[in-house]
Amino acid sequence: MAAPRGWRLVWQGCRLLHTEPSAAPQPPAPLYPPVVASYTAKSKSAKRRRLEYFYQQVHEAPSIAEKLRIYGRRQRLKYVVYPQTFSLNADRWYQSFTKTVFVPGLPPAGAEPAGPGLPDLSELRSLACDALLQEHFYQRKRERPVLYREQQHVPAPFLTQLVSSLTAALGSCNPLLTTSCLDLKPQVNFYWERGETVVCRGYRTGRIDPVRFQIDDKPHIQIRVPKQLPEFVPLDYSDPGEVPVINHKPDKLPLFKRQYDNKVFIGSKVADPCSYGHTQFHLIPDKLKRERLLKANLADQIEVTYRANGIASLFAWTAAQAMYQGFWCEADVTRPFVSQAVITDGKYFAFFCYQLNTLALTVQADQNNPRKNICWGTESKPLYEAVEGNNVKGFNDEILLQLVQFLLNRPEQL
Amino acid sequence: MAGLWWPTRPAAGALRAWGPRGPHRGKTVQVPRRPLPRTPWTTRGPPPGAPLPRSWQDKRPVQEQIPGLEQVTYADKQYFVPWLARPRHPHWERGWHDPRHSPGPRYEAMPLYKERVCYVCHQRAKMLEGVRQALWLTKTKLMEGLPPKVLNIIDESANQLENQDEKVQNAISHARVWNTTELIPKRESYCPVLLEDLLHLCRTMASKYPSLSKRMLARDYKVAATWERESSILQVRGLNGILLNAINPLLPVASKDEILATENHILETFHPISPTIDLQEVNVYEERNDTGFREGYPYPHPHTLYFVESANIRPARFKPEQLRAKMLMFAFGNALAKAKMLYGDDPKVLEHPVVVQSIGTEGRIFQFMVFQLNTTDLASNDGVKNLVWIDSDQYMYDYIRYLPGIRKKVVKFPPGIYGYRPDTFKKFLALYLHGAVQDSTQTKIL
Amino acid sequence: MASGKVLYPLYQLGNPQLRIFRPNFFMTLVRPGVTQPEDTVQFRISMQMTRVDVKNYLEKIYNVPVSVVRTRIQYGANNKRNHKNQKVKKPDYKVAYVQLGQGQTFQFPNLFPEKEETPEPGSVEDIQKQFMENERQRQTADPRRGGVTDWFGL
Repeated sequence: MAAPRGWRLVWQGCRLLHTEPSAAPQPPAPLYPPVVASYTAKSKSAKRRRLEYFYQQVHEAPSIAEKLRIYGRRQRLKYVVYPQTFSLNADRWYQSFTKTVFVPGLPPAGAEPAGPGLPDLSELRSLACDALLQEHFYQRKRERPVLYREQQHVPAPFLTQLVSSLTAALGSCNPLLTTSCLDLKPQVNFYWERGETVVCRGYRTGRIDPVRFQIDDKPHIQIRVPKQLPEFVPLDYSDPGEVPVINHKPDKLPLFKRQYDNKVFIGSKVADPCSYGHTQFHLIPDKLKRERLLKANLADQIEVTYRANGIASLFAWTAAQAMYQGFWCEADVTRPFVSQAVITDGKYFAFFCYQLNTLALTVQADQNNPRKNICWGTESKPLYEAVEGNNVKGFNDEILLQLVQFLLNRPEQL
Repeated sequence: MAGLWWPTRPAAGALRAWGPRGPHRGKTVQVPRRPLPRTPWTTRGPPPGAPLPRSWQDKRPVQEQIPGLEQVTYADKQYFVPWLARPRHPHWERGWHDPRHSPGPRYEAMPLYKERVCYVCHQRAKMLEGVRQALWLTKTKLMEGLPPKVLNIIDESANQLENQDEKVQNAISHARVWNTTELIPKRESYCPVLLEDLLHLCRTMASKYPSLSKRMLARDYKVAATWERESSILQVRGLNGILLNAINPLLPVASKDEILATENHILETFHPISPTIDLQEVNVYEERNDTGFREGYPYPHPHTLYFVESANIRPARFKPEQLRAKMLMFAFGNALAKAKMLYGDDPKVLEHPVVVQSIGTEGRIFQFMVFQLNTTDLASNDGVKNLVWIDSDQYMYDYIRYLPGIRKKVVKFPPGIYGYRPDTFKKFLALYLHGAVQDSTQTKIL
Repeated sequence: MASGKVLYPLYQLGNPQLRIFRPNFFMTLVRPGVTQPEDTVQFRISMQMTRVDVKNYLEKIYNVPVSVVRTRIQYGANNKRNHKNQKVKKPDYKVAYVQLGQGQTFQFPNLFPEKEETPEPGSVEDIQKQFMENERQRQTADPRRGGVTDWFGL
């Protein structure tokens, strides 16, 4: 039986060869399913296959909300990173978690985009002084603020008032602010994996696991815009600075593990048209105030708290914005994402800019990845020296100018 | 006979004939009592001479009334035994004044105690008769709809944002749908967010009208105003809402003729209910008139008050009628405090009436109000009255659909806002632009 | 403050703050089981000490600048049994992780370094060592056979 069938096949093949020489010879349809490694075995190839299947599921998700859902579906113990932390030298640790280079100072100023004219600084100064005096002197409040809630008594309403009035006043100079969205105390969450470690306890002892992190942040005020801000430096710019490498486990920071929802959130859901970030404003909490750190002989940690807050909050926000556009660690960003932040404790202001060049922080994606994220930051400087009665002494115009320049940042074409 | 156990009689007023079976058998269920009906006796207590009702009389137990029948307690033993009764110890005097354990002075001993009662309206006062009660208390005449000046601002097409409808719908969606990681946000989170978003949209108009930047918002400020009204002292005190202050005052909305015409208007009373019902009666008070800000404040004139009703549970929220009454009382309080600061405490008819606007919302329904204080002479019922224009129950949208409505596997009702009405935001914006647009039109005429 | 059972005076409003001038605590510097960062020093301290006590102790008595102290209690297991089959408890102890201030670092020293013993020529150990080396060399197989055993042959 095999011989006549084989003859027929060859005869048909000859006819095909003679009649249609242009058609390429089709490979025969596979008779058996492909031989691949097992899916459920305790082996490296099975683990690789499971990872591939997971990546394929995320790649093929129909919408971005679905993609984020599948990305954060599996819940495991993860380190909870707090941007506002009392840990010592937290900024170096956070740089290593997020592959960020910290550059002191501000990014190189690009060419001023031609647009509506510059604002009047004296008007803005009077707005700022009015906001300051209203909260400090003119509005009748409780004589003494509640213990550990001094920041909510005066600095928090002052910051809200300052930001909202400056945003409104600069709307004529920066049309992007008229289409922006101002959030008060929004939630910002981000979940990512970086590095690998060996599981030390439990039934999975000895296996290699990625190290998972989650940031849950609540900035005081946030401005979101519908258009992306321009980049500070090109995507593949490699800063001469180094990303600090710390060979200890994050537990030594101290950082603690918890298991709960893996959320990625910029302040509103994916359907919001204002899905890019402009500026965040953070307020230093009562436990990390300058006076307390000075009393505990931790004067060098004052700048560290500002830097750690800036790096962690901005990384979480910018990376979440990148994930909202569909990028993730296996599909790295094709254009840099940029955000700004102002961190203050009511009197001292510090400015931070962040450029996200890469989201690929897992061990597999980071093997041939020369890109680094860059964070520029200034030291904290006072906005005013003192408020005595109904006048402000020693108002610092440079800080106000820097704040105004931050708010005026906009893309070239609008 | 240990097995026999007759079922206990249910508690008085219980809804069931038999009590719970199982492990809770024998325990009496606490029946929630309905609140007492509001009569002068229940609010103020019985008058001194009258006999108390039966349930209020002091019922001492039989053991105390008959000397020989006192219960045997373990007070003498000085330790607990389960078969003796619990003793009621006499009150122990410390002998010295410990500030951490003293109950404080009695009301009669406080320095600010006064015999005459004062009725205080604060932010939790839900008034029974609503706007009618507030109108009587503040000697005001009600006009339906918004004043014509404000309506003119709405009609002018220059007073609108670009893509206003789209921006407002984005703001509503942001507050109601996109603001949270969960599916549906609670009212406590979406209501203030909606107000902040609408205020942000209004502030972006500052590029067209530069005088809009001469305003400042004040949160968590306390107002105090006192006045007499037909032999009862009334006060408005405490935190109210978000106040928008302006450098220039709002010009009077009603003409002099309308003000004089209010002299003939008779205030509505609602006998037998006293107009001071639901206001807190205090004997310890200080007659104070305070705008909440010190002298020399660069934004002295109150412009608009924003009220947010964001309690999650419906019984804790104010109904629209009560919200309007609260808005009226606090707008009046702010206006009166400002008038007394400008023109002194003597009751008189004001030459330059004080105008204060007020907007209240519970996330979907908006109440708009413009109040004009014409006189501080509030003791008598005659004379010039104050004026208030109320636009009540303006819906911004009908409802929000969070999940798509699928019938027979086809999406028939997509998620989003249903029944959006653009007029409500136009009124909101018009009330915001009220003081500033007048300046520009006047300068245009000049 | 003192380790062991001590009755501290009851504090009431207005009393002076408690000051101890000669505490009978002691702290033991230990080598960390898991490698710690450079500025972290690990101590075993008395169970009655707190992190504030540790900080004050090091700063006042030893003049060591301390920025932060974290403590934990290590539970000693109760599983071992003695010859009477009674459970024997290993005692609990408190561990303190002290992070030094002013950028100082600390590395636990190697207390038992390996010494290279070079015996003097002519002494007994030298002759013994040489003898043992000769014996060992005699026992090893001929390297020219390339690891093949000596019974393998024609």
